[in-house]
Amino acid sequence: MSLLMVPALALLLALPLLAWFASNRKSPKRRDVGTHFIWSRLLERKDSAPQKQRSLDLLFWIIVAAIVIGTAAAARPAIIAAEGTKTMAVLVERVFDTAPEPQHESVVRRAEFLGSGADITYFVRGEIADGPLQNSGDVIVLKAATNQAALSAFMARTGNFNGRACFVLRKSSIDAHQSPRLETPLVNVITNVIPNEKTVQVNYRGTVPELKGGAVLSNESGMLRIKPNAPTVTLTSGGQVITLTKSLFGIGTGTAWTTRQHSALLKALRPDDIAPNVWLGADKQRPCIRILQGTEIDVSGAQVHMDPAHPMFEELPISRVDWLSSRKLMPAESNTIPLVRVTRNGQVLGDFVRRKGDIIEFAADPFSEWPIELAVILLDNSIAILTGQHAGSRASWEITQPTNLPATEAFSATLEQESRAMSFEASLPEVTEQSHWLAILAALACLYAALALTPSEPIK
Amino acid sequence: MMAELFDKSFMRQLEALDAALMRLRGSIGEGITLRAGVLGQSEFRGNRPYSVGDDLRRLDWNAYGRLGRLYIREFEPEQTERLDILVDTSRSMATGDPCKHIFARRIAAAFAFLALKRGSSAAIAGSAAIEGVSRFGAILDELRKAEPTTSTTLGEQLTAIKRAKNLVVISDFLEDTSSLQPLQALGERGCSVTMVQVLSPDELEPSPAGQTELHSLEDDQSIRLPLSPANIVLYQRELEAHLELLGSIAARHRWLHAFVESDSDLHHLFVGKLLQSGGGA
Repeated sequence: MSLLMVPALALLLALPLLAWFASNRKSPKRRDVGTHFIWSRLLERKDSAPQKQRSLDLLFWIIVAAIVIGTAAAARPAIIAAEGTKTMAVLVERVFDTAPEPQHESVVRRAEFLGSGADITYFVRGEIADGPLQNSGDVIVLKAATNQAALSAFMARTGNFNGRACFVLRKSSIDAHQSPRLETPLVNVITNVIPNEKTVQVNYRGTVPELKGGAVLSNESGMLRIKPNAPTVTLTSGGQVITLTKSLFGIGTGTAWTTRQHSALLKALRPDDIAPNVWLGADKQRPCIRILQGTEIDVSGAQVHMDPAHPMFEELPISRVDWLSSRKLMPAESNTIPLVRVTRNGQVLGDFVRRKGDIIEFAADPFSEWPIELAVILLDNSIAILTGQHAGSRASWEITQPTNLPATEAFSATLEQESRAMSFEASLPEVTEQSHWLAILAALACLYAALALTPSEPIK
Repeated sequence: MMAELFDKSFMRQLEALDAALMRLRGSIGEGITLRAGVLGQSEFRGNRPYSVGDDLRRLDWNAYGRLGRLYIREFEPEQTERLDILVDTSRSMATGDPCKHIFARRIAAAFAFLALKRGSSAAIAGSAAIEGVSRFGAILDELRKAEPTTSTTLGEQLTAIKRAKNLVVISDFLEDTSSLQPLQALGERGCSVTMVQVLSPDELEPSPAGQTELHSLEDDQSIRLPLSPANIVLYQRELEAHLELLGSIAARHRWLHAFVESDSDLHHLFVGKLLQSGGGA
């Protein structure tokens, strides 16, 4: 049992004060009367006065108890598991049922590396023959049909373990998920870097990382929020150096978008004072938005066909769009997906927009001919189709060095090169606080005291 | 304190009280009848012309006002009657400001003095009867010894009185009314009973206080009560109910019941209360 908040014990200073009040509490004033003959009738009517005296005495001690318990609760007493009692649960999964018998020796070696000194319990799906797992720790067989079911059962049954790890066995490699609880705590380290749209969140332990190329927006509880102001940002903590660079994605257009409208389009998509993160390159770039010189045709009586639910037309006010204003179309091709097709009397005249793999082709340049408010939506949708993200929601920054942070790298280094490590929290904290029970007790005592102190009717 | 209990001032009060009663008897009217056993009065017989040497206190000033001549009031020869006086000596009488027992003993002395002045004998309960004003000092001696230190209740003290013709009981009567049963037995045997109830002002109107330990001198026990205004009102209601009960019992048995506060005076008791009550009896 430990106290996590020792200064709270200062509240106990209230106890001597209470004791002083108690010792100096005015005792009932004595008054001599001839007889209790009349007074006793009051007690007979309602024998409450002695009770009240008793209840006042009881109330005093209840308040004292509430203070003591409340102080103890404020001190956050906790049960901290002893170092030698750590437990670790290891789930051993096979990705393919047809895979050969897992290399259990390798699993045991890695599990014992992870949970050094911990009692290890292995969870496996399906019966296995006696082997290294049984020699290393307890083995529990999960009767689950699939790996997903086995993982769910594992998570449900291992909530009280100090750490959990999952080894996914492939034919030639092992992926490992590991719990950071069993690692040696690192001091002065950046544990996570999360780029957002315009800012970057940096989680760290120890001293505040040194920042170059950005400004600190906030710093609290081991979390730094920075705003980069240079194409390259460097975070340094201890011997660790993390480099963030501007996250660019290229769109090949084949032509230089240098007109005023093109510039406005790019600015509208990603207003950024550092550098544009839409890189426009040659048409060899992939993915690519390609503006073609379509064939001019007679579009009188032509009908435009499209799927309004297609992401290409998301939030686009289609009724305002004149797809045929350029009077240019591309000949229909069999290996393309038409997004905007033009027909007349059931006969295909051509396509205005079509997709060919990671290329979107236009028969003319709507981005310079359309009203800019329509053009920007069309361009943003096009980029989203090609890259999977709208330009406006794409994170601006990415970690370029190193690729793994220490919290996971520590373990992944012990695996094969192609292994991948992920971490997740153990559900049971090592420190079990007891303050909630004490707080409830103190609250109940205070409630009783409050009820007892509620003014009551005089003796009737 | 005891030296002051019956000092010269008190004796002058007794003389004045006697004179006042005599005057009242003459001025209020000859038809007034007081309880002879209580006040030692004798029956009025008539007037006769004043002659030198007559007791000036017996001059009938009303007759002088009507007739312009001095007349002396004459009474029937006084019969020797015995007045028994019981002063409650239970410890409950030792309380009050002024102390109830001091006033109670002075009342008893006044009763005895008036009885002796009128030719009756007087006896403090438990003592031999005294005759003659000249032996009034013996009464006072008895009263001086009647300290409120006994553990016996009023009921027990009344039970000890086996025979009495005229009985005056001076007490706070803060006991259950069952303690008055001996009085009922005496009354059935022809005893004339006068109850003088003495209570102190602080008993009638206790001052409010917080949590108070009420210590009873009578049984040396304590109880704790908050003397809140609400509880004091309740106390006064209970006390009033008890006084009314005593009054109804006295009326039912034709006892004279007079209530007096310990800070009152003898004149107020005898003239203002007893004489009025006796006149109506």
